[in-house]
Amino acid sequence: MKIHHFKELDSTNILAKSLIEKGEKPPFVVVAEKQTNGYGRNENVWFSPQGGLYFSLVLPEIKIFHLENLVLALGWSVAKTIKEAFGVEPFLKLPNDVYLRNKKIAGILVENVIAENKVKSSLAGIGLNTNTKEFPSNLKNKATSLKIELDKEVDNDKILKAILKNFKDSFLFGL
Amino acid sequence: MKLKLKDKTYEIEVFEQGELIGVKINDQDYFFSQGVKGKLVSRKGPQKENSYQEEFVKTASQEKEIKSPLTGEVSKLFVKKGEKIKKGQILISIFSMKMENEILSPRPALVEEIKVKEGKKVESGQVLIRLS
Repeated sequence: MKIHHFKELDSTNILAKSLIEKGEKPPFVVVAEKQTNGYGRNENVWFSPQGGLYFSLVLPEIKIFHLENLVLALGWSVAKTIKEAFGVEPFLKLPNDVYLRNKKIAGILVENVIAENKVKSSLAGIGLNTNTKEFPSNLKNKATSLKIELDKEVDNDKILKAILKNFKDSFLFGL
Repeated sequence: MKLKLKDKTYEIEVFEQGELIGVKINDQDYFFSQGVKGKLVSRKGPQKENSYQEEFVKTASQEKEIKSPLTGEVSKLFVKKGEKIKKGQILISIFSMKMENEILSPRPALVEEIKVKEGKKVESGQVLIRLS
């Protein structure tokens, strides 16, 4: 799968949308080392400094009834990767929020475009706090990172590839 | 029966189908029935059994009702009643299972009626917007 890598973006989802508009054929991934305007639902900011793993996965056309599987497969893949790679026990708050030791470690925002009874494009923005060293005071009690919990640096490229592999294995409708 | 008009020949057949009178002209069927004053009035023919594909094309591009594809909540309305819309324009976004789902117009149309409000829950299959 093609991976577009950037040093810095306002948001991987925004860049991925512009690539879809320019005709880039899915599936593909957009990854950034930091985001200046990473966002979640309701324009909530996703804290995205250097060190974290921020990427958007764009899927080819799928059927509407595959969306349930999609959203579950995404959260499942992130949690499974953390467990397999680091031997810790993440908590998957259904459908797709991932917690470690009662603090949020990953967030997933899925944006679909539906037309004529089909999901024309499906875009999953994933933020995983990997090497984030610290969080601002308003997030300190709610968010954590692998670096904080494991006290070591992790390899973002390896984690990205493992998440994509786990996703391929768990999303049953083709990638 | 063959009918010749100028240099063109028409194969014509008249038949009855239920209450309708059918006229076949060169393999194309036209239907009529008795109107209130006894005159023949043009009618739509009896419905053929649609193939799955024909049914799909119909629901996709001629449907007057935009229905919610999922159970969720209306997060945003992008159009107003009376607005002219283009094919592919964003009509409404439904938040469901932690996903934002933007629904596009299947064809150019006029927004006749908006049946839902932002923030309200909707069921899968519920009519959201009615198009002209």
